[in-house]
Amino acid sequence: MKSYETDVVVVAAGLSGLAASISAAENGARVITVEKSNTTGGAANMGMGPLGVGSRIQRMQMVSLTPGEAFRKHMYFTHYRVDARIVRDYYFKSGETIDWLEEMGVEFVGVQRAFGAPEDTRAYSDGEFTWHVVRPEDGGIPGPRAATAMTKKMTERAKELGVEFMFETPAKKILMEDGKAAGVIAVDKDGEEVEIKANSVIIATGGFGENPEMIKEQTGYEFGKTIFNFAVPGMRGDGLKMCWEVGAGREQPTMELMYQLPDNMNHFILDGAFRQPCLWVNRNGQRFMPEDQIGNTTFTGNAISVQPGKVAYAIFDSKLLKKYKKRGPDLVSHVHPHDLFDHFDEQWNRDIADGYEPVTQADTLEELAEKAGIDVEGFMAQIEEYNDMCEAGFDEIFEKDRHYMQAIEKPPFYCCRQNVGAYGTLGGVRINNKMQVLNEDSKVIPSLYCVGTDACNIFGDSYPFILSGNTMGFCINSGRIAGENAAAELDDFEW
Amino acid sequence: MSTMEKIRAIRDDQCAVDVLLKEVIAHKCNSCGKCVFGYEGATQIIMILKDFTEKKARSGDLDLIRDAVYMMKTQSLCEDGEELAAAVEECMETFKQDFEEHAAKKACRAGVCKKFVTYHILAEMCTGCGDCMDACEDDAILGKKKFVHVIDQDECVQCGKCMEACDEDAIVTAGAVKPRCPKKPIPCKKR
Amino acid sequence: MRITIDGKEIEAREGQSVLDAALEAGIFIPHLCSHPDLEAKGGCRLCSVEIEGVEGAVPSCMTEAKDGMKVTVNGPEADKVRRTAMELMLATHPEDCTGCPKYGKCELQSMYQYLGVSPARWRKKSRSLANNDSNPLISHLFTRCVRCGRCIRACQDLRGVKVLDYIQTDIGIRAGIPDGKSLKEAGCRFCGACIEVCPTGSIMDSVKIMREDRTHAENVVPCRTACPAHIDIPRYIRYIKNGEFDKAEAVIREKVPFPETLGSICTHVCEDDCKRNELGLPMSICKLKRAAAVESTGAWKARSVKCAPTGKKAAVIGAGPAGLTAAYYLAKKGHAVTVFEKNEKAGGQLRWGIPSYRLPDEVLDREIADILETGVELRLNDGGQTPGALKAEGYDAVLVCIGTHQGARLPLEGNDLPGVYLNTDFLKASRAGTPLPVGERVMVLGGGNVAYDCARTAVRLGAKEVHMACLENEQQMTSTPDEIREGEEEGIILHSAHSFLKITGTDKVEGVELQKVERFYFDENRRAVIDLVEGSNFVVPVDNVIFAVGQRPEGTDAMGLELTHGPYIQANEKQETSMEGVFTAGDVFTGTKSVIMAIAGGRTAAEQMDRYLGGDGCIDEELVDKEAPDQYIGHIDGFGDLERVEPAVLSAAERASDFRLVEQPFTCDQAKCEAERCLQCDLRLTLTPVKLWNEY
Repeated sequence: MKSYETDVVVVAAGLSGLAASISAAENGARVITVEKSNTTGGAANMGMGPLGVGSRIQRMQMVSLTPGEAFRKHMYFTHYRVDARIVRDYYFKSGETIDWLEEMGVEFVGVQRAFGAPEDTRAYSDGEFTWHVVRPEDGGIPGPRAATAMTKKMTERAKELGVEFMFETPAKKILMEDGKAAGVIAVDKDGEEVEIKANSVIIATGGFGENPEMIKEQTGYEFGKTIFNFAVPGMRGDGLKMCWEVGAGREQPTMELMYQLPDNMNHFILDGAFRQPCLWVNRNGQRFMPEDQIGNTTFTGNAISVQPGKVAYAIFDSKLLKKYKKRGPDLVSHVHPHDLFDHFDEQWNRDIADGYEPVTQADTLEELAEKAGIDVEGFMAQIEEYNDMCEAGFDEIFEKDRHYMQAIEKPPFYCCRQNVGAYGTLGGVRINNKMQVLNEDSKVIPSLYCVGTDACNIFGDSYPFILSGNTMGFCINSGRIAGENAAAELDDFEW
Repeated sequence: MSTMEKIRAIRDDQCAVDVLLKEVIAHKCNSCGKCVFGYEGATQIIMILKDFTEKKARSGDLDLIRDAVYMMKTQSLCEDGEELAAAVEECMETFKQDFEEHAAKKACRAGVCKKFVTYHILAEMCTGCGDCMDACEDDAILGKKKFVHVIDQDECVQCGKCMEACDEDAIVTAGAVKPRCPKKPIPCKKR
Repeated sequence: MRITIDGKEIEAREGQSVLDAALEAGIFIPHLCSHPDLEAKGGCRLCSVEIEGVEGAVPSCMTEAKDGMKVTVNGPEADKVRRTAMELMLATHPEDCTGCPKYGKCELQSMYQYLGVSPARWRKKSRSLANNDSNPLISHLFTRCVRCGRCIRACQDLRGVKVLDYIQTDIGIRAGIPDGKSLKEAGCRFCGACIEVCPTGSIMDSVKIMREDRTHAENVVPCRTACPAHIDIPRYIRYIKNGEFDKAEAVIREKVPFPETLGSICTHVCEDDCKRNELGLPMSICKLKRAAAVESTGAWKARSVKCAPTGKKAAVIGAGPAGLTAAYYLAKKGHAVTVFEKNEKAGGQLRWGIPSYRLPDEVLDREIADILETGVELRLNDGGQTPGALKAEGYDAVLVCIGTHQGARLPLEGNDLPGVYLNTDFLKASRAGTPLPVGERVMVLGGGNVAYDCARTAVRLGAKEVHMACLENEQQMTSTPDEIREGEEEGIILHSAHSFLKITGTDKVEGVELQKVERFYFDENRRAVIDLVEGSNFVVPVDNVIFAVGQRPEGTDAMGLELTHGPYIQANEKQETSMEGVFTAGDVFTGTKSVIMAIAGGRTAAEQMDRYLGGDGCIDEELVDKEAPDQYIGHIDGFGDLERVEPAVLSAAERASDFRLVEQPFTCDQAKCEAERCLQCDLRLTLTPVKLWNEY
């Protein structure tokens, strides 16, 4: 068994692990970071940027939101059911963290919000301008994956500071000595055990999105049946299991809900094409929310999760399709461009021919419901009501935006089933505002830290999209706070 | 004939953008895939030219094609890519105005690109018979008996079926210059 | 020669590309379509550089290094080419990586992280198509294909299999199999080189064969992983294919001292994990091992080394497969080893438990003689030794491996009537040449391989009618399908899914009362539950009953060691018992398992004991040079459907009357022919791993 000795060992080199590694090293610690895959950045490589409140960029863009206001908004959104000290320290750190990233050479195109709600539906649903979107290195327009430019800069910074990365080396176990974390055991790419002794340990493994058994056990969802979450390879709950094994307190993990088509990578155009405020019904054929909220993936994911069978059906007719093709979709997003309907026919015809299971096309509405597995009678009654309301120009049930009230009447009809999706998992390991791991009695387990999504217990039941960029925001700031504290511990030790 | 020869033989009744699009689609580079600039370059040029012909151009598209062409000329794996790039470049130079008009979503002078053509019902010719409305599969024609019928341009897909159905020669096509027509049905003058 | 890259002078070899020279010197230049083992093509242009005196950017993979060359990696021209190329690739690649199984190990992902570019200015459209999991072993997810051509070059040029090529589809050009064929139809050899070189997640190992608890190499070569002794199976099969039987045997002997024995009787769990199972029948690994041993001339001995004497003494109690293996390796490490054996011959279960129609004495004697040649002292007819006493006698370390030689007798009415035998006694007596008498009709109770050994021995001893009964149904039975089939051929009447109620008779066995089992399973507390069919009782009239329902260690209570689960010896993962310097191995430790498990346990014991005695604990040997296997395996039509070769077997009529060896070894040609079927799963591990930017 190979053996190493260092000040701080960080488990996993995703966004939170990178932040922890850099801040520990900046504060004088020798750092070894072990990583299961062979790249840095983890799930953040798919993202576009983190939250920050009170950054230089925000001030330049005249965004007046203060950390204190953001803190209060967050607490109202979560009904004070989460640890206010952690939330407070996170938001008060977050603005300066953006400046810190800029000093590292990370550039941002500016600050945005992920979701703007229509004027009359803003309460609890409007996004703040907190999302710092990373500028690609060539100065181009940012798209999905833009945050890789940040993880690269962070990796370079970490290396510059002497952080030693060990790739394809998953940690297996936290070493404990006298009730204090004292290192980890990992396994290298040849299957050989590696022992890393350290003064403190920071766990940052990114949750358990790729562990269907654990998802079932911890959240009740069944992967591939009731939930279709992002399953980033390697995110198997290693960090949670290791922490729990050494006595960490448990918090209820949640899935970071949204909604999604199964195997959406191969059917991406449909994902965007049906993410429109057309007609949405549940398995009984009934509408279940004002469709003008469909762009809010958190709310829609939540809504679908309480429908029978945890499914919904988005439906439009040829007339609406023609409109989308001609004028572009009603709702666009960063991943679903305005011209997506140009490629709709090609994708749709191929998927119908291949028998892609969530999609249905029919010449009558009865046949459509029948084929899709929607209650025919309920659906026909709903259609009649809906079309009448469209003609009248007012949605008496949900008061959906008039603009989107268009009758479903012209064949052929198109239907796509929507499933509950999720970005990954959130939380599970109990921590305090220093990101120290606590036991079941909420007493500190010395020298053990847990950061990022493994310990993100501050979102309550739903992702707080009102403060955009929150997942990455918590990852980077919790990592940074843990790194600083781990390094400070070392000073005490030497002194 | 080589791509370049075909480009040089473009006649006045042909649309240069349309011809070029077809040429790029038929070019070897579009069925090879062994180099990024040859294949992905051709793919981008095809998608952009297609948007030109469908009146969906975006600002900066001409520069985008030039960027792709510049790379294809020097960085393709074989002479096919270089030849294609040269042909695209020359075509864009020779027919500069056509490309600019397509890029600005103004017009297809040759009248080849259907999306630039609109259909109109002339008020002075229409008898309000309703034959055009019956022929329209997209419910794009508004009107009633003895009223001048009107084509809803948002709904019209330029299929031309109304024109065939009209016995009065009241329906015409138009390019950049549109005839004056009523916005909604009005009583017919012609009986 | 010397070249300069970004002002830094580095060494380059004649004929080497600028890219290779830079990477070798630890200078990173982005690249995607080039791979260390494949011919450079220059398609992706990510490796573009500028060279003094040359106009514009050139691909460094296609540029030969010349002495004095001055190279700039990130000049404006090269940078523009590189970024544009990446943008264009990303423009038609799926935007959303989160569903991708290669996430975190994808070269494209690493490369765009390094370049930090966004395709946003281009038209974006992924060329999506459904994943194809219809081929065995290999999943195709060509939505992710970036047309780098690495899989094609690996398949065409490196391997010569010539299955993959660029194909035109309705979603454009991509890598694939021409003419709409399946991999099998196209003659794929399932070597997996395409998977190994694919930079994205376009070609992947089928999810179901990849196990999370294994490393990449362990997953890629499952036979070697499954073998308890981790014999390098693909390596010896490759030698057999080439007719190099001496080398093949040497490879086997690097891990086990019983090649022919194992080749005759191994339970071959390796074959269960053989990837060829996904195509049809697995490789005949076990029988190939026998062929290697039979055909070899023993050349391995020339390479076998024995260390200088250490002056330490080790004792081994029990000369079964575990004990002899441990003794062999301990002796080779220079320790003086004495093996104490209770019986008049060495071999343990190999000698007394396995009938000679499966493993004749000559084979065993020969392999034991090779072991003794290392200087191991064997004391036969010397039972009753205890570790405490041996230590007191001056042995520095003791290994207890006395196996499980006591048959179990079920608590049934009539279980002690004359004519009732135990499996161990029955088989041993037969093997010793003094068989227990059998009448016309015999019933064996039990459904494992030992039960078949008993039943088939009874057939050979002249019983006219041999029955077997067991609780399990045929799917649940632990005996191998081969045993069941061969037993049936020899006329054994199997009563599977039957419970035994009692043995009838007053002065001697007259019959066995059986009852049909409806369902037999283990509940959540792992207790056996038997549901019987009411009123289905019947009596099978027989003259003898043989219990073959398990066996236990004998005499462990006198060893002075801590025991567990009754008579089994308690030990830790290092196989150390409760007494210092006393180790254990084999069935007495693990419970009745297989010969290969016992041998693997013997190896571990030898390693641990050597370490205990002051050695380094390394018993690995290199009996044949590590040779680089031929990368060019060529195309074989119908390779996927090549049928498993079967050796000659005596007909049931021929074999049922005596103890002649039932199965013949493969002939040379049969062995070579069977070896040809091997997928050579290990070959892809010899490909050079690609280093990503963050590893420079």
